[in-house]
Amino acid sequence: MTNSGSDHDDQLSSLYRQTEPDGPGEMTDARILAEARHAVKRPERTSAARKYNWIMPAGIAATVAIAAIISVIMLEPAKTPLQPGVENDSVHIGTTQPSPPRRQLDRISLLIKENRIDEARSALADFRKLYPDYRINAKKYPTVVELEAQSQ
Amino acid sequence: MQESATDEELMEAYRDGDANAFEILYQRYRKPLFRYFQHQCGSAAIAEELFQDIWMNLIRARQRYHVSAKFRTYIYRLAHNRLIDHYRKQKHGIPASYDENENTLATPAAANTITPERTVSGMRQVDALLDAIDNLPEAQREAFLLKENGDLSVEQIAELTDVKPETAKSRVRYAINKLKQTLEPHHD
Repeated sequence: MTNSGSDHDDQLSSLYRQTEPDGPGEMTDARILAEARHAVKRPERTSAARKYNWIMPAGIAATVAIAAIISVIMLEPAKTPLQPGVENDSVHIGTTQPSPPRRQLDRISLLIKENRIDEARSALADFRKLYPDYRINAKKYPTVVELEAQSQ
Repeated sequence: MQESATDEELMEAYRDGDANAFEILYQRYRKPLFRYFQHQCGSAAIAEELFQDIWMNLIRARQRYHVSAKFRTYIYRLAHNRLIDHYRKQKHGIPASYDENENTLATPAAANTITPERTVSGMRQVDALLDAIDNLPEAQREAFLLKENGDLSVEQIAELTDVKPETAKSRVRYAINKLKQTLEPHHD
């Protein structure tokens, strides 16, 4: 043998190549080749697809959440007038709680009724700060409308 | 895909859906890879299992294949990793010969050698060589098999087995010296 101490030896390599060439069994060959063919026929879930595979469930979750929020809004009694300046009686449907402006107007009416005029004026002034364009229903709150007219 | 295509071109073609490219590649590496496992594990059954595993891994990981290294190095790295994984699951774990600090150029124990008497007692030289390969320490045997079956350089062996080039060179040299020593005619 040649090249003592080397990391290559021609004679040894040549002798090794003369050894019986082994190979895997036919079953192993068939299994591997079948899998290789089958794999490229399958639709591949690419890394990009895996990266964004949260979109579908997230979309469904968002849709459900939005639907739930809309349902709650639709079913919950309105607490503010639907149109500023116009009282809407429908806000009382299904509830005994008046909407905030009406509650304040009720309170002002009560103050006037109790002859606490100064307090009524003050409450009316506060009311106007909050709802400057609100048109008070004269039929429902005639005393308040009258007090406001006197104050101007 | 042509038979003359490089390994890298074949693997890229397979990655892109050409099953015939895989078949050509498989035929190129089928025997050397199997022999690597068979001689390294000493069992055809284990060799079949490990051999099949690395091809299945290659098939599964085909989309991640990019030509950043030679395919030859890539597939033998898969083979080496699978082999080490196999050793880890064994009772004795990874053989001591894989320890980089081990003196790989030390003379192996007499019990592990083939005596010259056996070589001259009628055993064919190629059979004596296979017997001698079986008796090499695992790490040195693997380095020799990677070189001979994989046609890999010492640098490539070092890279894919994650050792220093000096360590890979020592392992190959040890294997060659030991095999030569075993096969040389006995002179009294």
